[in-house]
Amino acid sequence: MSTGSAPPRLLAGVLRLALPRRDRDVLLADFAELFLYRARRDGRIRATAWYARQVLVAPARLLVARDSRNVVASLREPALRRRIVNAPRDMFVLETLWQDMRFAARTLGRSPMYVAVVVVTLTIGVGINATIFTLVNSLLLRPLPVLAPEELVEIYSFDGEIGIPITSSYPDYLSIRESATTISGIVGHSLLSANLTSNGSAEMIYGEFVTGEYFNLLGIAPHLGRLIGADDDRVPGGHPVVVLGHGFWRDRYAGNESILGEALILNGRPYTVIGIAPPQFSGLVHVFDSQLWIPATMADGIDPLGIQSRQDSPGDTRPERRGSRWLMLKGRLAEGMGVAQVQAEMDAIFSRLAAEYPAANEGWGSRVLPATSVRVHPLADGYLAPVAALLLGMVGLVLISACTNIAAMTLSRASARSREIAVRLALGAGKARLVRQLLTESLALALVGGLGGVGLTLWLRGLLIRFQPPTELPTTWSLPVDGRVIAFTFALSLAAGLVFGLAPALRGSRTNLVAALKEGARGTEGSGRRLGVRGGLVVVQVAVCVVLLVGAALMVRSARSATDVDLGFDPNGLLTYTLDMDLLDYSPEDAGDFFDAASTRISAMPGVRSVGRASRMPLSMGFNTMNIYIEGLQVTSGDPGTQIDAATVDGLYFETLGVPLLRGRTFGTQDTPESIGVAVVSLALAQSHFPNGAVGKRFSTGGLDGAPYEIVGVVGDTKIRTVGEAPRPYVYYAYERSTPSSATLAVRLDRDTPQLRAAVRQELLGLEPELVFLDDSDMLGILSMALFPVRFGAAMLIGAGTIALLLVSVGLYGVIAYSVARRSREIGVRMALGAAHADVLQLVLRRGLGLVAIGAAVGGVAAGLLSRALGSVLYGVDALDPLAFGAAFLILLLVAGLANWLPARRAARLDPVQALRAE
Amino acid sequence: MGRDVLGGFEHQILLSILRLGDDTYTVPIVLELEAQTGREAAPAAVYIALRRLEKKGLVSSRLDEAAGTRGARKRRVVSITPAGVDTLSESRKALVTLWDGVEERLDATK
Repeated sequence: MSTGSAPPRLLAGVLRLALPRRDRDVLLADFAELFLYRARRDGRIRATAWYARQVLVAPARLLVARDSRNVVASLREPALRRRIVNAPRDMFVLETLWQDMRFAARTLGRSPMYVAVVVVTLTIGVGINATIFTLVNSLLLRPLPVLAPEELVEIYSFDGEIGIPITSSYPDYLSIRESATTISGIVGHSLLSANLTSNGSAEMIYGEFVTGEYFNLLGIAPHLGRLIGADDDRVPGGHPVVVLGHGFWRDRYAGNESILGEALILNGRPYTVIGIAPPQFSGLVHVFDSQLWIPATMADGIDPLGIQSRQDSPGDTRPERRGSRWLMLKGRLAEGMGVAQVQAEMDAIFSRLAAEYPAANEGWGSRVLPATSVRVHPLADGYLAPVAALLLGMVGLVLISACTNIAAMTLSRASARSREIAVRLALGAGKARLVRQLLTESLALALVGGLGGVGLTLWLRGLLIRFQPPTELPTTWSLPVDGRVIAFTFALSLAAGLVFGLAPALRGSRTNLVAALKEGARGTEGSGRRLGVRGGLVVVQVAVCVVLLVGAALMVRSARSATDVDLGFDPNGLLTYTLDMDLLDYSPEDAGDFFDAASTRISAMPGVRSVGRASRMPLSMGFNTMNIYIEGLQVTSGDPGTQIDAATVDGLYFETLGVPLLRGRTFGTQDTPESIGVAVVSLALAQSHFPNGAVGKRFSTGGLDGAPYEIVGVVGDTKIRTVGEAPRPYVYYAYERSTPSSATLAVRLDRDTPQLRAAVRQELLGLEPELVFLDDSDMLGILSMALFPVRFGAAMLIGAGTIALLLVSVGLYGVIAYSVARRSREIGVRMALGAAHADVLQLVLRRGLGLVAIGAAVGGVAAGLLSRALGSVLYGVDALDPLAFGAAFLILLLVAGLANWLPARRAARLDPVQALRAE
Repeated sequence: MGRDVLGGFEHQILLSILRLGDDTYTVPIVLELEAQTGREAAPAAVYIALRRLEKKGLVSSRLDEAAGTRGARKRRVVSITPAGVDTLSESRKALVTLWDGVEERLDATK
């Protein structure tokens, strides 16, 4: 049967919800049959209209029928009783609602300015809230696009010493997979970056390493070909296969199906394309858009990204070493199991592993968390959640401010309408009915504002998307406006409608009949309490505005001073090239020779001051920690040592970055692989662990019998992980003694010009035409990524502060203008009795500025309390920074003064004759 | 007959069932009502009235799984009970008595 004969599915779905459970199917079938009959007789359009009407009417009818049983029993009057029970057209609820709506439309139609201002104000208030919610939603709330995400748990390895949950090793993953019974399956994954070469050009791509059960456990089906399975992840280094992300396949290969079976050259090795992932799946890391997936057993020729930790342990490749932790683990709960059971089992497994493999696993435990509670990583989440709360709180304040304005306007409208309301009350209208009528008006406006809010959200979302984090990682920063966002927007506007509608409605219905009818629209100040309420609203607004302005000023100061924070090195004119010679099959010795040659040739170029080499640059993504054992301190056999951030650098690194040598020496030609191990430590490490001088002291990296290192120098502290951090202990090892095949070349220029950059790059390619640049950046780029949160926050707060300022000036202007209008007679009398212009000006200004002063004081205290919440993103600025507070107050005073002065001036120019005659 | 007078709409429905014969259901009743009164009848109203009549013991209903001509879909089929027939005939008697002798006037006032 064609679909033309069935009622529209959406309508049928709604109807289904409304029908009583007992005969739901029967009734639905009855409705469908009648629909069919009508469609044949009257045509589908009229039948649909009929059906839609039934959808609207049937629930109310059924509801009335159910409730009326009790009502009917209480009714003595048989006629009325019959009327209620039998009259099928008595649609109490819906009918009066319809009446109220029509009435609201008529009344509102008479004051288009009021409607316009309310709708625009609400649209702004609701729109920016919904926009921020969209951001929070896509970052924190949207579930992973996988099968039953609520059944997934995160399993972290947990080092008791540093106390943070981190990644796990591949052998540990295998051990858990073999013995765990509280989970029905487990997957490991990690971000990766690889160099894709084709036709002589190279590009960096980002994807995920995944274990064999990954796609199967997550319930992902291929778009084309097949996905990585258990058989693709058995032998370390033995499965050169790759699954492409749908977007990557579409953009890079134009969706060409013949790519299946072809080989991609990744880090110099061919990987066969076996399948394409479905479009909606972009990997397990939020916001990150995985371009491809590779078996985890291949994680040696290609390096994982993200949190890693390494302890010496046997094994030729990364997947074979138990001490190399780089995999994020997710398990699926077995039937009837919970997080607590998994944690208990993991505790047992980890303590068994610690006993079996003390070298790699001593001191390691586990931490199990429901996957829905973890967004990026427990560490990052601790940072994201308060930022999200802060953003939502900030725009929430703007909405409060908007509601305050609207409430004030509605209030003055209600008092202007008090006569109308009194007449209706006198004619016998119920108070409840009146409140409902007034509320209907507010809610109707709120709905229109909600619609506007959705529109504004769609537009602002476009702006936000342009505010992409400055990262090379492909992101799914698409901020979808989904059902959750729409629901949030409308819930918010309805709540706002209730807030700004309820107080005026209640007040309106409480109108004193006699007084209102007698007084008419006489132009006096009235009780004065009315301004009291409105004045109170302005105080709230000013306070909210001060909080936002202070926040904005602090963030701006922070963003500015973050660039002035002493990083411990000079980021200007510092180029960084991360090169991996292993990809070109260089032996470690050849790689060492290449880096030596590159350093020599580039430092000889005009305009280049010096060239240094490092395994990791400060503030770049990821970090590397090592456990060290300090001689004479706490070394017992079970001692896990002290975990310290570390990097390997050459002697010229310090000079190139501008890190000062404080004591001893840096590295030089006397440090060779044959000589004793040497290390340079940061000032923070020297002070915290070597109170009697660090130079000459020793430590080791592998327990009691590990290789010893002698500290030969102490250098100044630099920022390591974040710009805001306190001085962090840091160990530098000597490049001269080791020959790693990958390194970052740091090139200090006299003057940074594009020509010079191109020349340096050319020089490197001259040494090796097929050179792979894992990263070709500069220190300012790395810095801007590190500073992204504070800059983003500053932009957001400035936006919110500006809107709040606008709202407060409109609100203040409205209150003062209203007061002036109400008091025009009084002012006229005063002027007739000889008051000067200045006196009137003063009279009006005093009232407005008094409100501003109270609001500013309240807001100042609130801002002082709240600004501490910004602490984690404030660099070099005190939370109570007087300059920020001063600037906020000054801006507020200027704008509020203007909003106050305009109506005051009008009052002062009042013609007393006119004012008195108007009476 | 008790204090429960028969409502106008209920009256109409009982008559429709009588016309349609036993084991009928909502859809034919709706169509019959519309055909005879010329006004749209809401299925929900019919359903509610039927439930009420059932409660009063004037109709009986049962779920019929495989009735009808187009496949097997559930229906609640209703039949008028003896009490229902009694109520109708009493109501008719009362009405006929009341109508007695006034029809001419109706015509006269036209």
